[in-house]
Amino acid sequence: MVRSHVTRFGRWVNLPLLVTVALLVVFGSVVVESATSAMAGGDGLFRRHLFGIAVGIVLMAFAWAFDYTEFKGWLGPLVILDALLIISPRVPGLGDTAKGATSWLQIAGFRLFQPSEPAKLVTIVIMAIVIAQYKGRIEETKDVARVMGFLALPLALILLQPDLGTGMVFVAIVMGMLLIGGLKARWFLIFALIGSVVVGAVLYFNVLADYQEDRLLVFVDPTRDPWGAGYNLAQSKIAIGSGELTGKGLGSGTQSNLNFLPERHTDFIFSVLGEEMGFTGAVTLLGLYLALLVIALEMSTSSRDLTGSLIATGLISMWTFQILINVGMTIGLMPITGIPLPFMSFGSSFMVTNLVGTGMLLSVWARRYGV
Amino acid sequence: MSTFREQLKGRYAALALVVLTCLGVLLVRLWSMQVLSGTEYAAMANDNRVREITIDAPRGRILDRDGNPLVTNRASLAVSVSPSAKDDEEMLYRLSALLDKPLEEVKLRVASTREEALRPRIVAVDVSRDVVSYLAEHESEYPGVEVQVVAVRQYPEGNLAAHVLGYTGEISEEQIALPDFESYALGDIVGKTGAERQFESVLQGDKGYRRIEVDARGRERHVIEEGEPIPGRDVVLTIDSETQKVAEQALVHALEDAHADKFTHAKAGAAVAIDIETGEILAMASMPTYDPALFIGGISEKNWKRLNAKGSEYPLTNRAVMAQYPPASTFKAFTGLAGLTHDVNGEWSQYYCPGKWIEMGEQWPKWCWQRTGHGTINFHDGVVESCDTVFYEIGYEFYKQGDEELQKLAREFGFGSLTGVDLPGEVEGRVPDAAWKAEFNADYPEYKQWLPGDTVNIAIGQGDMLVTPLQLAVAYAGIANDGTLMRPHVMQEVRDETGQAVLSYELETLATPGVSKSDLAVMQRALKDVTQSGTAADAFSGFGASVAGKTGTAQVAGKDDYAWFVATAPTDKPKYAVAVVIEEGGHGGSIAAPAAREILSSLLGLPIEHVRAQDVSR
Repeated sequence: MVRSHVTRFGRWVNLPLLVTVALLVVFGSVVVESATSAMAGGDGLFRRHLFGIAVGIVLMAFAWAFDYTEFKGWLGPLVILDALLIISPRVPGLGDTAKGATSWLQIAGFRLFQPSEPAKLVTIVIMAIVIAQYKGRIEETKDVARVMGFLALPLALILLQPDLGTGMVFVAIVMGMLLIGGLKARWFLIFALIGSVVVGAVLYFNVLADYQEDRLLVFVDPTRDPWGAGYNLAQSKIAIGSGELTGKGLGSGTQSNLNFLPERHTDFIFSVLGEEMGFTGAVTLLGLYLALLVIALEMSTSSRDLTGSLIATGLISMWTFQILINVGMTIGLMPITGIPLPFMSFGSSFMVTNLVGTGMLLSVWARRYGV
Repeated sequence: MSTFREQLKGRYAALALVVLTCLGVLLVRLWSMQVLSGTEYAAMANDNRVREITIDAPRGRILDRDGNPLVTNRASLAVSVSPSAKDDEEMLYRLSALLDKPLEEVKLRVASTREEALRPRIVAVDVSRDVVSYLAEHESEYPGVEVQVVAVRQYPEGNLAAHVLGYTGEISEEQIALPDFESYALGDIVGKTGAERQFESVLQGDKGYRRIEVDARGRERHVIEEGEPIPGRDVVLTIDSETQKVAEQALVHALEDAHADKFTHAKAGAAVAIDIETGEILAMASMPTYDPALFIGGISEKNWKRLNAKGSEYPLTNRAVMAQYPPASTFKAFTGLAGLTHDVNGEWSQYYCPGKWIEMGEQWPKWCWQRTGHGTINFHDGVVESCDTVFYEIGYEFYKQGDEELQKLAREFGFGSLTGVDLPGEVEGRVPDAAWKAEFNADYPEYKQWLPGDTVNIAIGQGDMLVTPLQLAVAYAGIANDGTLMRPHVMQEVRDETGQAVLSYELETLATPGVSKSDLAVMQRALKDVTQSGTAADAFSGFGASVAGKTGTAQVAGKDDYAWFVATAPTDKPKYAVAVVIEEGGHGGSIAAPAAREILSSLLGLPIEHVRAQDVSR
């Protein structure tokens, strides 16, 4: 089905995607620069951000060049890699703990990266291979059980860290993939039911750490404890709302520069954007995300096989869910979790993951006509 | 059953819908927050970062007539506690021990709701350097505790003229509700009594402010806007410090004299000296007195109770204007003037004093203080000797005329109404008449009727007649000033910080009673002879100036007699009027007159000495 008019460049390169991702990365860098400029050691942070982008672009090129169909024969090793990545921070001497969760891989006291970030991509590939095996028909209980079994391993290990937010990302990724992968509708109902029961049980048996419970309670009632757990949310909403239509100008956000906004270069980067660039800036960002997701959807439908479609779907689900949760938490629509904003938040592991994901999308795109 | 390829379109549509819904929800929420409610959030962001700090204006000083400071300001190291620390019992306990203050008092001040919610509560002023450095070294053990420098009142002359100056304190909730105090905040220091209260509006000044930007920890980043405070203005009083000292000393001497004369209940008194031509108050003293410095930084519960306790004789009361007494024989001058004006008597009219006066009927006898009687006596000598019978006769005549002309004249001389002196808390006194009596005894019909004895009692300044020492001084000044009463006042001028007068007191005539100059001259001659040959001759023997005056010895039910003396001098060109009252001090001639003499010697530049007099007449 080779089309003669498609040039070699046109076959490999999807310009709209590259332009969209480039704009997102530049946009993100501008906001991170503004957020870190008034912080102690802000310059160093910004350089680390740029370093993450550079590494990400190199790895993106590798992912792009790599033929994703090769993954099919590597299911076993991929599962082992996934498990190793997730379990590595808990290996004595390799882990570091931040905010109650052990999620950093460090060697000799030097923080390398957060293994749960690349684990998202590995899980997407594993699930794409497994789901594709059913050729769009997942109906039997034993089939569902097998598919969910592959999710259960990384999920269980993530929840052990414990990192509830990242666990939710894994669930969202897989739900999106199952939608495209042909899981019957009634199973989604059953999952919804199981989900509610689990959430109920977790709350009832007090499984959550105190800080997690506080965040949830504050989400339900934001006026609760405005100087404690509700502080972040209240300050974030003030920052975004006070940006009004056009914002206070880059570097002029009072909420941001006077330290009212916590974690402003990472989890609350959107609050900085909302404050300094206003509704205009927020709409611009959402527009870029819309472009990214629409292009990815287009790539997913044009994949030559189901595995490629599923990989693209997994990335779409991951980004959509993270955008919803992250932006949603800064404006009080979602509970506060430590989930960063794709292509925007400071954090090299996360940036690299997003760029490698982009590379995987391009890999699927480049092979749409066969290899 | 459809094929998977067909199904896939629907599934992608569902996925696209989820994506669009997620972005759509965020967009709608952002629109609502940033566009619809943006202004409210912008206001909240400003509240976050902008703090307004008020800067108290230095309070104006109070000076005496020569510009000597009576009240100034000084810097004091104060310890304040943030209201957020009000429940930290353990810390407050340690703090109270450190400051050597009762725990209850510290807690009371920290928990005070009478101040702005966030304003730190001052719990102690004039804290020692040791305490300050201890707090600095143990900062972390005293959360919410701060040392700050505050301006407090200073009294270079101690408690001199305490009643005229008054004291300051935190504004009360009642005060802050008044329109005059609109610009005040709870916790502000305001004048509570005396000149501090009377001239509050000029002394206070205008607060400055500093609008600063703070970071999340409340640390100042930079000043956004600043307004300098405008210092309060200085008030120059008419008080002459030297005479004021003498007047206060004279009261002390008078009380000692009274005790020496076995009047052991004598504990209180008042003296006032005014300039006859201007109404300026040169001295105003009240006993017992108090130390206004006790109120610096808030008076302690213990001291406040002590100053207001029963049996304390209420030292905070300025008896010269806030207390009213029967004027007794000092009122005879006005009874006499009424008689002269209405031709009831002349200067040399003859009377006969038998000691026991029974004109109103055998069953209503009245006694002259001289129980043996003065025998044949003319009006002039009746004043000089203070013969009660002469004035019974005059009073009885006024009763028979029935026009209440005696009371009318008394009112023309300012009795029964405020002098309008520029000091708070002045009382009116009372000139009783038939209408008053009927109303006063409304519930006791048997006492409502005005009787001959009522007018006769007024004639000798007894019965229901009440005056303040200041009223009496002003009225006597009127006699000496040929019938012109000047409004008494303590404020001379208001000065700005450069010493320029921005406001000067404008002299004001209080009253011009309808009394002829010749009748006034009759009274002036008689009052002069009081100190030459009459009831005050003993007290004024050897005095270096000619003085007109009148003794009084007031009978008060259930108490020892109150001693009065009121005088004007010098007689050839009257300049000063002085009134002295000693509660339960005994006789006017022996107790009050020497005190008046002491004050007059200061006013007239004569050697100041205290003399003892033996006269026990009225």
